[in-house]
Amino acid sequence: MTDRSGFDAFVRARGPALARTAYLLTGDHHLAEDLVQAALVQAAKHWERIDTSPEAYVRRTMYHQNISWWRGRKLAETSLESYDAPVPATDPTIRLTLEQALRRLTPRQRTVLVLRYFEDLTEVQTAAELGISSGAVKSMSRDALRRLRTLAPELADLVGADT
Amino acid sequence: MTTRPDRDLRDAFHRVADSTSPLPIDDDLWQRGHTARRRGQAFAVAAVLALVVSVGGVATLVTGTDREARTASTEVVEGGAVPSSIVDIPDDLAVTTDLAVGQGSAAFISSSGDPVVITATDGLPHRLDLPGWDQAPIALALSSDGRTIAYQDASAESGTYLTTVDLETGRSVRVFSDDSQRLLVNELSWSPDGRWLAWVATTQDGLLALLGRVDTSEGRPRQVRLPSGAVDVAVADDGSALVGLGGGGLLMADPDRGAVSVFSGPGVGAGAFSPDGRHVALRSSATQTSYTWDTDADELLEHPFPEDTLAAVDVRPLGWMDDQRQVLLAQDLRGGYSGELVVTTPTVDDTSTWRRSVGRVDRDIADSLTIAVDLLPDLDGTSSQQLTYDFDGPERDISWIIGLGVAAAIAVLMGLRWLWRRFG
Repeated sequence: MTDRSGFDAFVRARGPALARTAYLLTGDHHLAEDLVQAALVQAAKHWERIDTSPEAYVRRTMYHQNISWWRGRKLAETSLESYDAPVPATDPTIRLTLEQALRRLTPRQRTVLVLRYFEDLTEVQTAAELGISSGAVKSMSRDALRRLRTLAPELADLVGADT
Repeated sequence: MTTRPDRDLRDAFHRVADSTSPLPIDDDLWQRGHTARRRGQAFAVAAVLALVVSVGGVATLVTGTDREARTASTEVVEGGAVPSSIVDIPDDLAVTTDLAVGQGSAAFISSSGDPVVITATDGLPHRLDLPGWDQAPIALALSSDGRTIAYQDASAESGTYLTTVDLETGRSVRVFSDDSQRLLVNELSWSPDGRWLAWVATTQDGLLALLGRVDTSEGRPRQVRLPSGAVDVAVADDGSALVGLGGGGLLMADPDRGAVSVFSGPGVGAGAFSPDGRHVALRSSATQTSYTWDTDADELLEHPFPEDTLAAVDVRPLGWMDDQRQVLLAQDLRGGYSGELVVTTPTVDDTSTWRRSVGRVDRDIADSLTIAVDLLPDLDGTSSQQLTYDFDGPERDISWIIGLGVAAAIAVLMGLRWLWRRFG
């Protein structure tokens, strides 16, 4: 199997899963599409030199790229304080409420939650992926969940009081 | 049955993710990745080249020929030159015992009281170990051709001795001896051709002043009495001498006769004879004009400085470049007595010259400075002509060059990094 065919096979096999993660990370379909493609281009660029699993490489690239993009966009974004009001529960489903609330987290907070509760990584593994300390992961995770409870009180049972 | 909240949250995350409609994934990702890779490699090469050029440029500036030009020890000027900057010696400059240092361009008494000669071809200062040199300020003079220095030799406990040293051979000759008394030599002066040496001296009690002259090629020095208060002297190629009196006035003394007053008036003193013996550049104080004595016409000539140039300067003639152009040391009273060399003519006319900042002189050594005026080049008529030579260059602060180079390298790398991230 050539490098090119191996890469194509990887994209076909893992592309959908990567896209799901990207959507959770960004909360936006277009951004998720851009994020996945940017990470896959990076993987193609260094394909011969990726010494871990390609999926781990692409996922890590997405985590960092998402935070990096946010840094580039944050000056144009509205401050978080204006989003602290509870989200109107116009949609009865929890899924939409969670989606709306997730969009109001910072990318770092959202990324930590995705890694902890979607990728099922431990605090230590999450810290290693993001290049931060375990304490920072714990702190960001706690803050993110508190914000979710504030933004969407109806998620209290889902998020838990002390999680 | 109750569920753990984190379990519920995981399920919720998965439900959100699963609800996502499939995202389109371009099929040219491989090609884009490899294009970016080749571009990245090109940027890497460019970055290395930029770094090499930046570092190399800085290294060239710091260690290249310019650095050699700043290192006087590596610079040799064919025929010799007067330094554009004449400064005091450092305290730790070693003493030179071999007096055959070569032709000098300037001589002075350092602030530490040592005799110093700057050699003409390399601009290096030499702290000379002159036999009988007394640390007390005594007389020292360099001939116009830079080949001989004269000084008062105080090796004996009493008596007055003047010695010359050939700087090319190191040979010393005692040209004047007076075992009877220790005179205070006020000034030593060479004739333009370096043949005659003249001095004015006073007795220890200050009551008697003497004018001495010696033809150094033949010996036979002689002294004549002067009115008290003689402070400076100039001697011509024929042995004629002009003496300045501290209280004002000029005396002319032919070689074999006593001195007669030729000018009465304050403000001027003897400086240097022109090669043809017709003019004597004069000292003056706090003036905006240079003065010259015309020996043929017995007339005081004036050359006012151009407007907005020098004001209230002390002028001491150092010699003549030719029969018309004199070299003056001007010390600005308002500028802390720092000195600059000025080239000018006796009067203002269609062919007159006035050039300032020909060289600069450290104020601490200006009073004792003599230079080899023969080393100054003939004027070529352009104002840009350099009459003195920058042996060691200005003391450049090269830290800004290094800083600029490093900043340039960083800027280049940052720019390439930005491009890399933007297009890579």
